[in-house]
Amino acid sequence: MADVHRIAVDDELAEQRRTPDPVDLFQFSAALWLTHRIHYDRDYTTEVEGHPGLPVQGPLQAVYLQQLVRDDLQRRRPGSRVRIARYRFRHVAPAYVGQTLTCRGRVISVDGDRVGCEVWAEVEGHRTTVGELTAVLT
Amino acid sequence: MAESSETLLTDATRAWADRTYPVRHVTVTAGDIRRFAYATGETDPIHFDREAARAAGFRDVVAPPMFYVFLRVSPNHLRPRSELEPDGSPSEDIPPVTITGAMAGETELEIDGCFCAGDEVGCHKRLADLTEKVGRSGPLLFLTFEHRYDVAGATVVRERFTRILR
Repeated sequence: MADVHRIAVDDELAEQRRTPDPVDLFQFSAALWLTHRIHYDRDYTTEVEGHPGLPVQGPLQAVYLQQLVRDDLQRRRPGSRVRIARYRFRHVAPAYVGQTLTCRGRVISVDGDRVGCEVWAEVEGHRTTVGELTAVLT
Repeated sequence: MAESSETLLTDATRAWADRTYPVRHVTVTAGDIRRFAYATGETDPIHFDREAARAAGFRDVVAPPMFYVFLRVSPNHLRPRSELEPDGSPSEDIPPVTITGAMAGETELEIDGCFCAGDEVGCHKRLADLTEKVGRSGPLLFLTFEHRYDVAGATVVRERFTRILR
């Protein structure tokens, strides 16, 4: 990449790795008062719902991908704020506690201060959450 | 359990889909924002310190952009233990059908503005669409909820969220 401060279509975002542990899952559920059992009760989740472990909350993965875009754009435009105008995402496979989520993305549109990005999280090469986000730099 | 040739879209399901949800009013506190910000690893003082937030042009401590999830989840889950299903979820979003599983579909967001400590947020919810499609394993019910979060009459976040039941 010739100039990190220039933002162009097809630029890859600086990838981020996240390995949420049980405390991360607890804090996120607690912050939302999310009482859904599959994020904290391993016996119930494996024996009754048949998961191999505790699934990472979908919205937490969406937060990771929003932070991926924010951090990359702020690195390119130091001092700017990154506002999220539109965000569409879909969970395509579960990610489990202790697994490493590699968060990646690329720029798909640039229109003045509006930057569109395709983003995804993957575990061992398969995607768990995919999305498209429009950020506005101010 | 429904046979794959049967429909999930019964009269009872349709009647359920017609009901309206009451508007919920949530006053956002600095503590709500602080918990969400810590839980998501934020470090910018605008989420924790009123003076830092004001210096940056916000009316008070400001929430990170995905904070709206708190406004969707917490009022719906903060209810007596007796109103939670065995899996810990409130039953409000489950229609009267025999289902074997639920999956999250797509979430679509439009954000215009931000939430700050002290904001009174009007949380609107409606079932925008209920569609049945036949999948390989039998009928699938697509429920699209539309949520709107307003502060002082202006919409800050609009969310369309689809759940898939089978």
